[in-house]
Amino acid sequence: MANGSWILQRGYASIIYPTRSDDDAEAPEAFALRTDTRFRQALAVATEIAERRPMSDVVLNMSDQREHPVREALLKLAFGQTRTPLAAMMDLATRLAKSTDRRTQPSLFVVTVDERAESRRVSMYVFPEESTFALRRSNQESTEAFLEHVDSFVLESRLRKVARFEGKNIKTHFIAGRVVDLQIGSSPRGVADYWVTDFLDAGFAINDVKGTTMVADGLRLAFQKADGEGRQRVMEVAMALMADSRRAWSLERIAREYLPESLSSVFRSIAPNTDTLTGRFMLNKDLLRERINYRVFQLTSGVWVSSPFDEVGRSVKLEGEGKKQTLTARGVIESERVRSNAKRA
Amino acid sequence: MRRELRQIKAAYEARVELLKSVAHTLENELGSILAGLPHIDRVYFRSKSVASFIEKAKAMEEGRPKYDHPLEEIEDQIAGRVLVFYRSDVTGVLKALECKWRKAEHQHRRAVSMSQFEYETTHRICVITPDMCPPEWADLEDPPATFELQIRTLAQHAWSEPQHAFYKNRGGLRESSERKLYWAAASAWGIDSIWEELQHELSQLHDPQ
Repeated sequence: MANGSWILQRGYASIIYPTRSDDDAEAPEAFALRTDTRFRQALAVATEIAERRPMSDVVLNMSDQREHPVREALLKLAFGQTRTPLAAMMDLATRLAKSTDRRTQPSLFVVTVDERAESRRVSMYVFPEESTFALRRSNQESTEAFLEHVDSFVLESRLRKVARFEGKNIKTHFIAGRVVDLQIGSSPRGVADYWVTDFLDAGFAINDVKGTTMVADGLRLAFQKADGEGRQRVMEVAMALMADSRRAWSLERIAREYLPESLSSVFRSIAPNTDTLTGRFMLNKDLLRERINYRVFQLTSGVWVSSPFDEVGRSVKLEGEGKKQTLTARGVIESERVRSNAKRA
Repeated sequence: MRRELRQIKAAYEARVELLKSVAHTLENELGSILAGLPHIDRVYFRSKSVASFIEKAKAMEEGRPKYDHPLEEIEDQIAGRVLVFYRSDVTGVLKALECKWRKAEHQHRRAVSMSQFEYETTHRICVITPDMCPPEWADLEDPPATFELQIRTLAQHAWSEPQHAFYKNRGGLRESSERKLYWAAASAWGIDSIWEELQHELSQLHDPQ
């Protein structure tokens, strides 16, 4: 049973220089960290702060035979004896270097192993390599190093990425983990995805179909519960989401960024639990468009008709084929607005 | 029953309703995923019964318990099955599942030797992700991380289900009876092969391209 708190057992560090396009690059050096009191305190604070950020569940892309190089390395780090963990750290550092290209700055890669009864927790952190702290090689032991000038502020404020896997040394564990990627989602795709996709060779636990379907269902539910103005807002959100270039989303992020308070709680209720609400997924815009089924028609008369959720075929009828299609909309007018600068997505 | 096993039994009894809830969610979800596919006979999920779980938890291997942590290691606490008409439909099901349910392991189980006929089914172990779980799942101690999905043809099912009774109790069967058991397996393989050929011929007839 999982009782008690995690106790830091050991740490490792490596400076990562991107080598993706460099086949002859040397493997990065990896060191066992001297985990003195100062480091432990700094790390404890940084960890606590990291835990307050919403983490997303990820699952390693396992082979049919239940193999994955990152899982093998994590198990060696967590449960390996003597020199095995350091070799595994080297494997992970090499992998991280190969996952990043020259668009990424050199970084400090820190791995810690915590213990709680039979369980281990392996945490991986990436910080930009900079002058505020330094990795100094030990004079006594060539495979040992310590971090100088490190404090909780430095670790917290510079933290870029976290990945955490925990469990026992059994076949069902260390397949899924949790990540914080403070850069992912900020761009359509590319450099920021290296942490989950390239380095971990993983995918978000909430797949794009499920995530996108939940977004569509949430918007549909909010639409059903909203008044006239609210319904208009929900449709605008759908349009805005489809136009947004960011790909990684969570239901919580959509609710926070796009929906007014009156609609967001209904939208959030589509998530069965908190982890699903905050978990990231890749938004599939084609699928969202299909599920939302929001269509905008321009008629030859200059009239625009926008039809929300499933109304095409019901109150909005299309007849004919190809270019000779005609449209008839029939319904009771609920409100009327005059816009001087009508915006349309 | 040893004390530890009693505790495991109590813990499992306490989680059965949660397992049923996830099984129900998965059954609905898989039904939706496979909705457009032809030749799907049935999609169903179940949670493992307490008695069946305890029997498995007690299993020994090379003189020691097979599972040190049965509550986390036994992967069919939640299990589902898809029954399809033809062998080739299994591929269609797997394709529909790709990227939707995260795979932990995949195996097509069948007799090792080409000259033997035995149990044949596609087994896939999938990862339980947060979107599949009710809110109370977070309070579960030592939860299972995976579930099992079996995909098989109706003919494979027609042999596998009745043979289950013989699987653990076949000791003492007459040699000729054992031979009949495997003869039935060979017949199931033959039925699948014939259906596959007929289905191919039918599709060629109606869609020669």
